[in-house]
Amino acid sequence: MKGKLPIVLVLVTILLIVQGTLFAHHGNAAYDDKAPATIKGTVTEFQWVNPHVQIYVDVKNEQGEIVHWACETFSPSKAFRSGWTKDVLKPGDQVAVTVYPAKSHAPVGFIRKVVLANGKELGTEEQAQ
Amino acid sequence: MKRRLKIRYRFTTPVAILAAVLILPAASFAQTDVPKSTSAKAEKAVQTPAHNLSGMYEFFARGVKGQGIYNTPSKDPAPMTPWAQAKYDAAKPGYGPKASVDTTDPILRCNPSGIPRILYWPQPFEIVQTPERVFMFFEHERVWRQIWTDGRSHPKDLEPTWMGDSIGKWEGDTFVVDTIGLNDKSWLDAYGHPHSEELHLVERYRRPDANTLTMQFTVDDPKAYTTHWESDTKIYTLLRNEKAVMEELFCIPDEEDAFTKRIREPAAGRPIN
Repeated sequence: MKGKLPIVLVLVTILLIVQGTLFAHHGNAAYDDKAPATIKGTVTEFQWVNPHVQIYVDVKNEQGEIVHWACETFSPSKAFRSGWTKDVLKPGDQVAVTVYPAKSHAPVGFIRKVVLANGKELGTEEQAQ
Repeated sequence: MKRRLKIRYRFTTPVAILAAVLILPAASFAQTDVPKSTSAKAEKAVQTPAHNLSGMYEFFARGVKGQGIYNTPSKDPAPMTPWAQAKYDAAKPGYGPKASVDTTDPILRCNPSGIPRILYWPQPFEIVQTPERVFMFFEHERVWRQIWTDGRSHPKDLEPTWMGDSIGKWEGDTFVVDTIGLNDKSWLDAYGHPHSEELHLVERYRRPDANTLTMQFTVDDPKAYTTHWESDTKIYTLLRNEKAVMEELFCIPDEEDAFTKRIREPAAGRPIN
């Protein structure tokens, strides 16, 4: 059983990503849910606010320039039910954020998953009880 | 359950047979059209209190099959009248076939979602029953509605409102809510479907087991739709323990504006009015 755990985790992750339904009360037309992307960088701001939780991340691009990414997800209450807390992130934290990027190609994305430096994952789906 | 039966069988077959005779009728009584993943859920179904909808539920909770589409009554909208079609054509929704990045959905100006739209919103609501009324408190917009259960009829000459006038009664294990008196300012769904003040809504609530609430409703609005619009069955999950949380989620114009400036407009690639 122990040897099968990584496979199970991979399958569960795939399931979460595939089944994840993009939701924001502002609509889903601005984001490309067919091309999820993962950005890595340093948190500059973590906004635990309504209507949606926001994470701002400085990401170094291929030219070595800093790009300021703005990432959003659900309301704080839904993030809480998905395992987040208001102090789970702070400026300076290193993160990898998987997003549905804006179709406009602006550095804005709808968060699907956040991986912290210690490996902890923050999803955007509530777990079955 | 299986494990318990297996252990009894190992020790004494007659006891196992007796247990099966006692347990099987109860299990079959618990069968419903809602899929169940474990026998534990079937056990709880028997314990579902009769005529009691109390609890905090969420439409968007995970692990539910065939949950029903969110944001709209069903995938098959009723045919619209010319009056409704003109309103639908003018709408710029954020979801559905006409989804637009610069949506003008009225809820983004903090207009209430209204009934029925808030019923299939993916945020929790809590149902509280009193002898005369059933209350529904919604996290989204921090609004509430009341459903009178004291046998009264709808008042005459209703002034249309966002939540309308609702009366409810039990028909067997189904709580049937009849609503009229809704204004035509709210959209019926996030796809921009309109409704008129003639909207007559009938919601049917059931609790197939202790963890689940289902709701199916009928839209009857002859000014807007040429036939009834039957919703699919919305399935809600009971929130328990630390998940049973509803926070203060008013719609605040300042917060919406800040979000538009920092997120929506950059994502859309242009200003949004």
